[in-house]
Amino acid sequence: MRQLISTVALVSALGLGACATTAGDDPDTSAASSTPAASAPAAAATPAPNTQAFSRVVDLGQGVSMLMGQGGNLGLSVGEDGVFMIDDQYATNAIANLTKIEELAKGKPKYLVNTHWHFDHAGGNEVFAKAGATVFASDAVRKRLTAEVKSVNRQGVASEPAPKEAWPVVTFVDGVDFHLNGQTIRAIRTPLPAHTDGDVFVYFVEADVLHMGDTYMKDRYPFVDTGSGGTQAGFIAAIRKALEIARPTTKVIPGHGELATKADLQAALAMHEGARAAVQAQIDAGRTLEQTIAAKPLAQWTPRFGPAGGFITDDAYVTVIYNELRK
Amino acid sequence: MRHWVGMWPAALGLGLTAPAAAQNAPPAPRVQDLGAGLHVIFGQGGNIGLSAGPDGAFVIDDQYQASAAANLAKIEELAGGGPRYLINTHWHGDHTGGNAAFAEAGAMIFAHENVRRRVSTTSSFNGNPVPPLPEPAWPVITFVDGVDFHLNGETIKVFKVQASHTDGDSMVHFVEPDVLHMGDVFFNGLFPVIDLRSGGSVRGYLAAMREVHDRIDDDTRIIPGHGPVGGKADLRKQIDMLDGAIKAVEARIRAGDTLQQAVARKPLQPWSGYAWTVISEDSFTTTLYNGLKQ
Repeated sequence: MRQLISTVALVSALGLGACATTAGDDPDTSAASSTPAASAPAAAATPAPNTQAFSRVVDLGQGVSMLMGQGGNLGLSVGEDGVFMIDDQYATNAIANLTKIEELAKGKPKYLVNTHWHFDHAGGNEVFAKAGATVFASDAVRKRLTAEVKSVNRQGVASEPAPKEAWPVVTFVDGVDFHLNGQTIRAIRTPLPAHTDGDVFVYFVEADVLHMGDTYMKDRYPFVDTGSGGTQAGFIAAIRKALEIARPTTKVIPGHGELATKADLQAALAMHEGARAAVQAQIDAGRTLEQTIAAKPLAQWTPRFGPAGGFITDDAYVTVIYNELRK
Repeated sequence: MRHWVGMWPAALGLGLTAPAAAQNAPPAPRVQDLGAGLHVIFGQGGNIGLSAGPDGAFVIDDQYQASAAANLAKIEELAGGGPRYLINTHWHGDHTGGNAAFAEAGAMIFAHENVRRRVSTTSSFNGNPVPPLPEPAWPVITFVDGVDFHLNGETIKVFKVQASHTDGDSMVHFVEPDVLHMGDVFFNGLFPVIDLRSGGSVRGYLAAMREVHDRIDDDTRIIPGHGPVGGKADLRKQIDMLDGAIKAVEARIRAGDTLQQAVARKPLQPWSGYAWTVISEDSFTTTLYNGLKQ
């Protein structure tokens, strides 16, 4: 439990309970994460937390790329019809990201889709909207950013509204399609609440690129944000739906972590389903939560999905599944 | 019936706005202010809805290419800027003809996916081929059920209705001022066009109007696709007309009439006041007959 507790402290220090780590590929973030973001100003010697622009561009063909840095992975489509983006990381690095994207794309972002409301994915909304982007998201994302529906972090603290300019202007229930830059770009709502209650993933049909948002983090146990309506069953449903869409050649952009494949998604689905069954077996045997955690039911998946690059331990994931199954 | 297609652009303009004189130049747009930044622009083609405010101009439909410059100037005058968002209620040329000019002026075009399908390929209108619009005129963002906009202090709900005027009709509800743009699922006081070859449906048209009628309030204001701004009572009248007209034509079908016999019997005579330049009693009898036989 010790690791879980420190995770809670970390998450609450960052305020909202989003998935705020890319420690594997970004040492800055882990350094920043140890300093509560909201408290003292950054010391002169170390950069302020999450202020750096993305540092890696992964070219996925046909003008589509994955941008990696602090916060969630960005998706980008550049072409004659304008700049289309998926997610915008933090408020604190938004200007840096915007500047670098304008250089890269030779234009300002016009279309911006939020995969979900968390501040490491939608934190830049205000800056990008003021620069002219129209922000698209599911209806639930807007309700959480306006705080019409409060989100509760794991210390029971309710969320505050984001600045008005950060609220999505166009919302949808099931999804919308974009037709630009030679791509059909489908924003697709997950069948059930997964990471949150407002998740979408985005598929570039012609480029064959699928951005999963935080319904998938490569080789990590998932963060089921129950305080934002997330469910473990939703991860299973979301990845099943993604697997219906993905082809064997599909390039999968995870919410966090390195570029992945359809086979990686299949492995994640097997893990989620296996984990659920393993915890159910413990419940069926009459075990308490503590006993279930102690039994290490996820042992076979932990070498691949354990906390090396993520912040959800096997114990934390067992806890979420246990509590959901006992509801 | 064949002349009807050729008449369409001119006839709509003539029939609704400027009798006789407007053969050459499109009529100047006429504006009705509905308050709260909402306006209706009447001109040639379908009625344009406009929400003007600090977040930009939100526009419903854009009439013809020939009237686009005048409409853009009017929008600029009313909104202090060009159109930012544009909804096509359906694919017909009297509602989408200005798309290319509006997109050029900066509008992001939204529509049901069947609208994009029909304007990006060769479609047919009344049996005649209609070539695709140029690519800049195609809607960039498409939906199946609908989308919501949150701007100018308003919630604007765009929602697809069942197959009625075509198979891709959307309506737009400005929630707080309670104003509904019904697209061509409401021709206020006129026989409607029901485009059977674009997936329209006579029974669907009646059902869609009834559904709207049951959902709106007594003081909801309605912008029809054609005709004057109205309210629930006007929609009720239109529903009663269509319901009566359907029953009258159904009676002819049940009596075994051919189309020619049914038309010759003038079953829509009680509603002859709904006939107009584009849809005569006979042509509407034909549409109902064909649609009800489907």
